[in-house]
Amino acid sequence: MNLAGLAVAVLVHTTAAGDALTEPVAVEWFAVQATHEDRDRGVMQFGDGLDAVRHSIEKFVEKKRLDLDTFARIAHKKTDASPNTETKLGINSRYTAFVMPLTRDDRGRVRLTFRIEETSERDGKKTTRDALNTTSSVAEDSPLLVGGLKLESGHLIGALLVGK
Amino acid sequence: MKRPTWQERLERYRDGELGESDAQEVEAMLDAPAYRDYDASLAALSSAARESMPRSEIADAQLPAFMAGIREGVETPQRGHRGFWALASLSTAALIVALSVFSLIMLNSHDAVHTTVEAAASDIEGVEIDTYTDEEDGTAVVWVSDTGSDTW
Repeated sequence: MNLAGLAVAVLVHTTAAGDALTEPVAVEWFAVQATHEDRDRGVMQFGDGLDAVRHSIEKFVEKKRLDLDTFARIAHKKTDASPNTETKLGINSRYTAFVMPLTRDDRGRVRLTFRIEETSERDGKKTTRDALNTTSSVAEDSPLLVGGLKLESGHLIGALLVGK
Repeated sequence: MKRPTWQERLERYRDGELGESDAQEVEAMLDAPAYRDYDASLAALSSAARESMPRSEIADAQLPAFMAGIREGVETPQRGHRGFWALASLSTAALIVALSVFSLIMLNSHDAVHTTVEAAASDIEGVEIDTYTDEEDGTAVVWVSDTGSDTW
């Protein structure tokens, strides 16, 4: 085998799509209401139950210099998500989150689709649309943060964590 | 041109450097005692110099080893430089492969600890979606910025 052949073989091996999941994947979901309460500059206040994702949210808000300083948990769910099936994760009456694990790559990351559905009622009839639909590969110790969607007050920030 | 002195002519005669006629003249000179004494001292000096030179001799017992060395030198083919270049080429190729594999492995291990976003979309009109991965902690972010143009 020449060098080019070897390089292609290595490349194909390393970019393989991943193994199909046979077992449910443990997921943990946090939905957070982020608001601006005009606190002292640089001071962020986090409500109870956000320790697992506080650091990631803090870092993101600081880096993007978002005008947000108060964070309150509005939904939390810890469950096992079956492969290739959407598992419902709550947010509020307007938004609903869904996660669907697809595969696990050779580095242990779970490739999944994550969707936030928005519901609206018009003329007594409910309609829905995807406020956000994403495909991601989520590492065990690194959450997927989604956010920016408007709430009645402030913005939504969601954090999705996956386990083994 | 300066004419050589009689000493120089005698010295050249001793060294065999003179032509036939010059040599005959010098031989005639040697009848005189002064010339003959100088010639005798030259002969003594030459003899002493020859004796003081180191002599390399091969003893009978050393001859087989000596001849074996000569044969080896004659019969052994001279080494070319092909082996060196082949080795250098192989080493370079191996180094390139090793570096390539190393960089691919490093690339993979870099991704392994990071969450990444392949695609993100929204049905909301006019929103901007920003995605990025924090290189330090591997967190991936999908941020939807509502521009306010949505009429849904």
